[in-house]
Amino acid sequence: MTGRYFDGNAIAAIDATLMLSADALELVSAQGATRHARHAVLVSPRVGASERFLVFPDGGQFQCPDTLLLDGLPQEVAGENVVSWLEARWPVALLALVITVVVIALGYRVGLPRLAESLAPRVPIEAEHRIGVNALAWLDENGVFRPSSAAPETQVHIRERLGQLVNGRPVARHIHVEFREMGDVANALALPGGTIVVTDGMIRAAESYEELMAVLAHEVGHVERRHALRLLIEGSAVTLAIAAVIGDAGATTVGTTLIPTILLQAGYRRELETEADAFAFDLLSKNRLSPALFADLMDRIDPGTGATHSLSQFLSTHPGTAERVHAARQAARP
Amino acid sequence: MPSVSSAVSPGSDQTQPVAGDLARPAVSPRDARPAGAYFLEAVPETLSLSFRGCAREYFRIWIVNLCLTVFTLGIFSAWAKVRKKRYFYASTILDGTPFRYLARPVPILKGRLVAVALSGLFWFTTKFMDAWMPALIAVTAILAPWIVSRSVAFNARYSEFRGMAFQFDAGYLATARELYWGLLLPGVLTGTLFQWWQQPALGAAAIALFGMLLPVWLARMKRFTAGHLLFGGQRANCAIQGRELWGIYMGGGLLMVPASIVMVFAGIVAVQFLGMPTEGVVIAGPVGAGIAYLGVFAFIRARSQNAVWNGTRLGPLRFKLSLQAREMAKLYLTNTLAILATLGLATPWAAIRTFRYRIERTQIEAVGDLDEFRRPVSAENVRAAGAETSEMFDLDLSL
Repeated sequence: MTGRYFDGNAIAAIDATLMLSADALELVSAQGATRHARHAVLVSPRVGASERFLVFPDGGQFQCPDTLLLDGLPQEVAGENVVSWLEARWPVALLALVITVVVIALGYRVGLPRLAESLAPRVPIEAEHRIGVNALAWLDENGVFRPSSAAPETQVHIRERLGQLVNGRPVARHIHVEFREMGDVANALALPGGTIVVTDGMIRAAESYEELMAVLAHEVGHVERRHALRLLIEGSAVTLAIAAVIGDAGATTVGTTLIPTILLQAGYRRELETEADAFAFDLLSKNRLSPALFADLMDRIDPGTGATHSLSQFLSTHPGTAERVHAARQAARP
Repeated sequence: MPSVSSAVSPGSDQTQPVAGDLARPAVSPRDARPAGAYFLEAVPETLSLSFRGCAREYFRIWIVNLCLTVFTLGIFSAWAKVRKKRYFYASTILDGTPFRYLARPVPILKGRLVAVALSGLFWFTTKFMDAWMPALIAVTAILAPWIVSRSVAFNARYSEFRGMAFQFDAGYLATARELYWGLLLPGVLTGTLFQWWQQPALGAAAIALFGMLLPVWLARMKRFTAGHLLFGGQRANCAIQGRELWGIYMGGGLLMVPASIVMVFAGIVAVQFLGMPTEGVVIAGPVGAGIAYLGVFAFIRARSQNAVWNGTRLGPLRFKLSLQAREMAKLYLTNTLAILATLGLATPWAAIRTFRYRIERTQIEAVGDLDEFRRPVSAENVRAAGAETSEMFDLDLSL
C-alpha cells in the first residue's frame, strides 16, 4: 500500500510504501525501511470513506486509503464494527428511521403521559404548595389579579358548596378557594398545591351556584389528577428529547427547539383539559348535578363560532369550546 | 499539491528528492541557507483545507446512532457522540491528511451522567425547594471553572493531527479568574442596583451596562482559551480585543430594531395576502421577530468569528476566516425551516452544510517553517495511554 508517513515528532509528511506479510509490516521510504511486528500496530477505525491510519508503537503513523486488508490487523477501537456495518447500509438506515419515528411517536402519545401519570401521585401535594403560593403572589403583585369585589356572603356560600362537592375525597383538605378580579374576564384556574382562583367575571357569568360548581369541578379535577406536576414532567421530558434529536445542528437550535416544544406541550395540555372535563362530568353526576350546567356556562362565556379546525387549534391550550360543550351535553344524557 | 515540508524559503539546499517529495533533512533548512543571502522570509503558503463530508453518508450515521440511543434510553449517546465527531474530524482534510478524534465513549458517558445528575438536582431544587437556590447557585459557580477547563482539555487532548495532539494547560484558578473577574464587577453592580432602587429605569440601565461589558468579557475568554491551547509545543495566540467585538455586538443590537419592524410588517402583509388576517397576525408577529432575530444572530456570529480567527495564530500558522453575514443568515433560515418541516430529519443535512460553509471560508497559511511543530518531550504519548485509563476526572461535560 502506498501512503504517507509521519513520524509523530514533526508535522512533515513522507511518501512511503507499506508491505504486509504474514507476521510483519515493512515500511519503505526515502529514509530507508523499518520493520514492525504485525501485532504491535493498531489501525484506526473505519469512518465513512476516509483514509485510515496505522499507528506504530513509536508514535509514527502511516496514512493510506481504506482497504479491507486493514481489517485483518489489530484495531484501535474494538467492538464498534457492528455499528459501522449498520451505518453503511441504506436499508438499515431506513429501518432505523422507521423504528425511531414509531418509538418516539409512541413515547409521546402513550409512554410519557403514562409515566407522568404514575410518577405524579408519588409526590405529595404539599410539595407543590410553595409553587402555588409563589405563583399567586406573582399574579397579585404584577397586576394580573386585583382584589375581588364579590360579596362576602357569596364567597362563603361558594366555599361551602365546594366543600360539599368534594366531601370525603382525599384531596378535599388541600382545596382552597381564592377570589380575584381580572377585569371582565371570566376564568377559573387551579394552581399547584390545591388553590383554586375564581374571577369575579366568572361569578357574574354564572346564572346559578350549580353552574359555578360545574366549573369548579373541572378545576378540582386538575388538582386531584395532579395535572400541574404531570405537565411539568412531560414538558421537561419533551424539551430534553427535542434537544437530543436536534442538538447537532448548532446555531439553529434556539428557533428549532422552541416551536416544537410549544406545539407538543400545547398538545399535552389539551389532553389534560379533556381529562379534567371528564372528571368534572363524573363528579357532578355523583353529586346529582347535570353536566349540562357546564355546557350552559361555557356556551355563555364563549359562544363558539363552531370552527374547530383552524390553525390556532394546534397552538391553543384548551380543546375548542364547541367540542367541550358537545362532550358535556353527551355526558348529560341519562 | 506540495507537501508541507516544501514550505521553506527558496534556495535552501535540500536533500535527496524522493518520489516527488522532500524528506526531512537532519538540519533545519533555515540553517542550511548560504550565509549572507537575503530571503523573503514570510512567503505565506496556503495549506489546502477541505471538507469531504456529505449529507447522505452522515444521515445514515446519524439515524442509526439515534435509533440505538433511543433504544438504550440515552446510554448509547456517548458512543453516538464519538462516532459523529469522528466523522466530522475525519472529513476535514488539511494538506491531504484528515484529523483524528481519539476520545473514548466511557469518559463521555461519565460526564453525561454527572451532567444529568446535576441538571436533575437543579430542576428539582428550582421547582420544589427554592429556599436552597442560593446554595445551589454557589455550588454551580464553584464547579463551573472546573467543568469548563476539563471539557476543553478533554477535547484538546483527543484531537490529533499527524500524530500530534492538542493540549490545554489552564488550571482551575486560571479558568475561574477569567470566567468571573470580567463578569463579577458588572454582575454585582447590576444586582445591587436592582435591589436597592427597584426602579425599572435603573434596572434597565444596569442591564445595558452589563450588555456592553459582555463583548469585552467574551474577547477575554477567547484570548484565554487560545492562549492556553498548544499544538506540537507551540502555543496559540489570539489577539482579539474587546472593542472589536463590542462594535459587532452594538451593531447587531442596533440592527435588531429595524429588522424586527420590517419582518413583523412583512409578516402581517403576507398574512393579509393569504387571507388569514386575525389568526395570522398572532403567528406573523413572533415569526417575523424570530426571523429578524436569526438574521441579527447570523450577523453577530459571522463577524465576531471572523474577528476572532483572523487574530489567531498558532506557531507559523495564520488563520483567515471570511464568513459572510448574508450567507450565514440564509443558511440558518433554511436550516430552521428544513428541520421544522421534516420534523427533525434534516438535522444531519443542516449540520453538514453549516460545517462545510465554515471550512470553505477558512484559510490556513503557513508563514514560516512547519517544522516548528515538534512533539513536546514531556507530553504523554496519547497512544501509550492505550489502556485509556479513563482517569477519574477525565470527563467531557460539553454536551
